[in-house]
Amino acid sequence: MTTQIIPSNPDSIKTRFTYSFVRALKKLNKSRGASVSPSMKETYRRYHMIRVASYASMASAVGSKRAWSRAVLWKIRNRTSHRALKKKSRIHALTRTKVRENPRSDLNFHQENDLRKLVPGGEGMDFCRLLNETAHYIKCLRTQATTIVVVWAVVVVGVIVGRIGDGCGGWVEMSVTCDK
Amino acid sequence: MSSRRSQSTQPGVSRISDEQIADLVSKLQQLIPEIRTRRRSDKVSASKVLQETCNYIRSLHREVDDLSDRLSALLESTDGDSAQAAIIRSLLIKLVWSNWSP
Repeated sequence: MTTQIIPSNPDSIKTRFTYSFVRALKKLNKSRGASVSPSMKETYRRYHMIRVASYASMASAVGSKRAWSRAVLWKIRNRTSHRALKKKSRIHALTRTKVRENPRSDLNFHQENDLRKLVPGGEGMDFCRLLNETAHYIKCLRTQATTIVVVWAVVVVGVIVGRIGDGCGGWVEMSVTCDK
Repeated sequence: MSSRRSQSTQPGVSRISDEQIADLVSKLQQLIPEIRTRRRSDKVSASKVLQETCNYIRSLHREVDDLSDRLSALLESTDGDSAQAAIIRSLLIKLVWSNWSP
């Protein structure tokens, strides 16, 4: 039995995110292995990896056309070397050339700074770009949240159905072999 | 409000007008539940919009992390095989669902 499904709206960010995130969940769940009672450290590690997977999946669903998604993907792909770079950039912060200034003097510098830290890649862009990226970022975060809820709900249903299926015999096995 | 063009000291750099900024701030305002207004002309200070935007993004981050942890807990509490089957089913069902509500 094939699990090939061609969605009628393949370009939707929500669909791409779902694919990407559920694929990651599959992988992570497979790697659970035979350990019946994993250590605390292992459990927290898995929690962390699922968190990272959700942000990575959203960024990759958006692709490279947005500065914030590029920043997220870059950060994840360069995790180890990124830490070293961050240290370096703090030292050179004073010598960095200033981005195009916010011409609205009534806007508190403090809030703009906070925003730049919250939006991935926000540090290096001019103010207009920042506002633009922020709007898109917020929309995607919302999509991310609602989609995770749906995945959660459907997994709950799946687990319950599986348990009923166990009673009926063979249904769970059939679904698991689908994956091969 | 007259549209003042901001002076740029660098040649060839495009100027950001007050109107452009006001427009972007107004668009942001519509996204934030705390200060969303029915009419875009309703005045909320740009300062407040930025402030609330930061708060909103922080709360969205918390929400996403919380939901992700709940999902992790769910998967952790089911045995590997049922979890795997449930995940696969979730993909199929989710795709069918998203085709009905894009």
